[in-house]
Amino acid sequence: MGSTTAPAPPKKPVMKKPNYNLLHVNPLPLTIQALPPLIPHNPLSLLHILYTYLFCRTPCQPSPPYVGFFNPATRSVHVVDARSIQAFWNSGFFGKGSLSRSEPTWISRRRRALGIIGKDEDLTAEEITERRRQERKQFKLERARAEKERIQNQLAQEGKIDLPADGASSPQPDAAAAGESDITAAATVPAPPIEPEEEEDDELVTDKPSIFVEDLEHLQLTPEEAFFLMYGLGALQVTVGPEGNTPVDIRNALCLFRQHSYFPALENEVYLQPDDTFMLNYVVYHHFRSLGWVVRPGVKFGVEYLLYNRGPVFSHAEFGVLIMPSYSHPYWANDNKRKQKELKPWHWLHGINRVSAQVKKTLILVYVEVPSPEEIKGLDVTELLKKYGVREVALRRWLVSRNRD
Amino acid sequence: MPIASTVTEPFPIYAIHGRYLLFDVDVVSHIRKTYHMCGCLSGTLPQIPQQNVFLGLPLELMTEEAALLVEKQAAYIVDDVAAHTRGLANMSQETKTDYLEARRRECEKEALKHQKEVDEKKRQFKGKGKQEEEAKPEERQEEEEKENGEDSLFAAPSSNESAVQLKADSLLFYPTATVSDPSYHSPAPSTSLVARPDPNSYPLYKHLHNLGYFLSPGLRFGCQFMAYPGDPLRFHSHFITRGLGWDEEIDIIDIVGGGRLGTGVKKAWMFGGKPEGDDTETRVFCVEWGGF
Repeated sequence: MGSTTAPAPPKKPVMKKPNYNLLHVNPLPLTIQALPPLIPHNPLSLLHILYTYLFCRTPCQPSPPYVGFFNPATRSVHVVDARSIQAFWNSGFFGKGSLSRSEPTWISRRRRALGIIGKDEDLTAEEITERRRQERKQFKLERARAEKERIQNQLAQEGKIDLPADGASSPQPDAAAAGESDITAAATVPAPPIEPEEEEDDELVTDKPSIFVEDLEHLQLTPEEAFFLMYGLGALQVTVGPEGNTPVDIRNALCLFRQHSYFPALENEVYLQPDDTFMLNYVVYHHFRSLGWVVRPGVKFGVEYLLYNRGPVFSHAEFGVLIMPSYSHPYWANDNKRKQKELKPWHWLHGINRVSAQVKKTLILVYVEVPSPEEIKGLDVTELLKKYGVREVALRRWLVSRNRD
Repeated sequence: MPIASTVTEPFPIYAIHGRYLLFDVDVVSHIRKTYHMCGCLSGTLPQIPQQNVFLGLPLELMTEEAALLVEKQAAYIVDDVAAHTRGLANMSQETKTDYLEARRRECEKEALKHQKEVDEKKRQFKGKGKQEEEAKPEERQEEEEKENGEDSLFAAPSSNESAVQLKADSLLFYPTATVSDPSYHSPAPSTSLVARPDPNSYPLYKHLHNLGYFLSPGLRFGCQFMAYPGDPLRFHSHFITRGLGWDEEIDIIDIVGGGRLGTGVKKAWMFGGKPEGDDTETRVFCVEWGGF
């Protein structure tokens, strides 16, 4: 293999990730109060527990509750204050930054671009990934160059080509090493860009401009996430209106979100169908959230939801969820349009399954049993949700010849 | 080597249980050459049906392929079960005896040929045995035993027995003809079937076929057709396609999924359709996953 490479590779700066275990210690944006320990041989400890349980309870919901306002144009709930953004992202991975891929990190990228913070300070996850990719690309270029050099040297030794420089064909290793630098210059593979000099970096550090950058980014919650935070956890207060200051209660929020799941949005709630997109999605979202999964939208993989075990910063999503409405209630028996919607072509399933297999995810088909409109008329939210049923079917590509063990 | 096409058009396509099948290898190569249609080989060996790596005749055609061949008046579709029953019922006694006689003669010929081969092999075997006997006389005993054993296995009806018995035995094995008797597939045009392809995907199929693409079914790859720019033995496919009705809705999730599906295997995902009542225009769109 390549006997020598001209310069020793520069020491890579170790990219430090934040301690995610500490940062995301709470799985949901609620505060949990631990009861004092029970000591079996000390009966007084029981009294202590009872006392704490009965008299020192603090609600686990935040007070004041986190706030967001519903924006009909983007069909999402915007969260603008930093406290709520931080709580929603760090505890439970709700929402996404409006100017970022997922975690709202626009501000630190912007500040780095303006030179307010140094180039290795406060790295965001995207930047770490980007750097890792750059490094890998660099490494591959380097490897290709070394390989080419080796072949040329070998050919020169065998006298098959003439190297352009002096004494390059000399068999002594020292001379070969000396010749190599010439080859490098002549090689078609571009040399790696010169490492930025340290002085320049220092200069930057010394003249750090101290501009105030306004954070223009907000967190966007999907209607399902927002409704779960409102109804499931009681941690969010959603407001509507042109000024965004009229609070809505849970029942009205449900109507609002359901109306906006149609296009164009429905004016009147009497036209709402039991199988509108919001209801189907929310039933599935709530189902998996209550089983402890971190549920995030999965459009980028061609599925409705992605299920993360602890969160996107810890591991890749294990499952992709596809929502299939199921009309087995006798009310739907004569509704051919809906029955047609149940029938999906085989090639569609194969396509989605292939895409999931490519990214090493297991596909889960979630069948949501849709109740009839009469059944759910005038029910309150909890009773309404009880009428929906959920069945899961996991799906995996299976090849006869590769699974014969 | 180019072989002159011996196929006369229109040729029959046999419809059996909703599948369109071709049993003649000449027709198979003819449609591949002339109409750039490949179909799918679907036959296994009767003795080893588990092996599914190398399939043979019959060739199964997609509904779209059968429909297009009929449209081009290159073929007609025969309901094979009905045609067979009718052919058997309408056969005259004379034709029947002629056929049986021809069959018998053929088998006799085969039997004689087989007998000859057996004799020849035996002669060679004996000759070789003799040579070895001369070379190694000390192993003679052993060799002889072996030879006797093999001999009894190898040719049960030995040469001195009557050839009549052998003939009778061999006659049991009728070779299966690859092409059925012509009397079975010449029905009146009124009785021929019509293929009904999916109205949403057929325009796309026809459009790409007219542009010279080889199309093959793409179920395995999650699409309706794979479009190859030339013979699939020479090229990878360029497009994986899905046909849509003009007013059919498509989910954004399916577009993303399709784009990823195509780009993941270095192809383009294509969808397209044709406005109803307009035969001139078919519009197609390609989607690739940018991954930004």
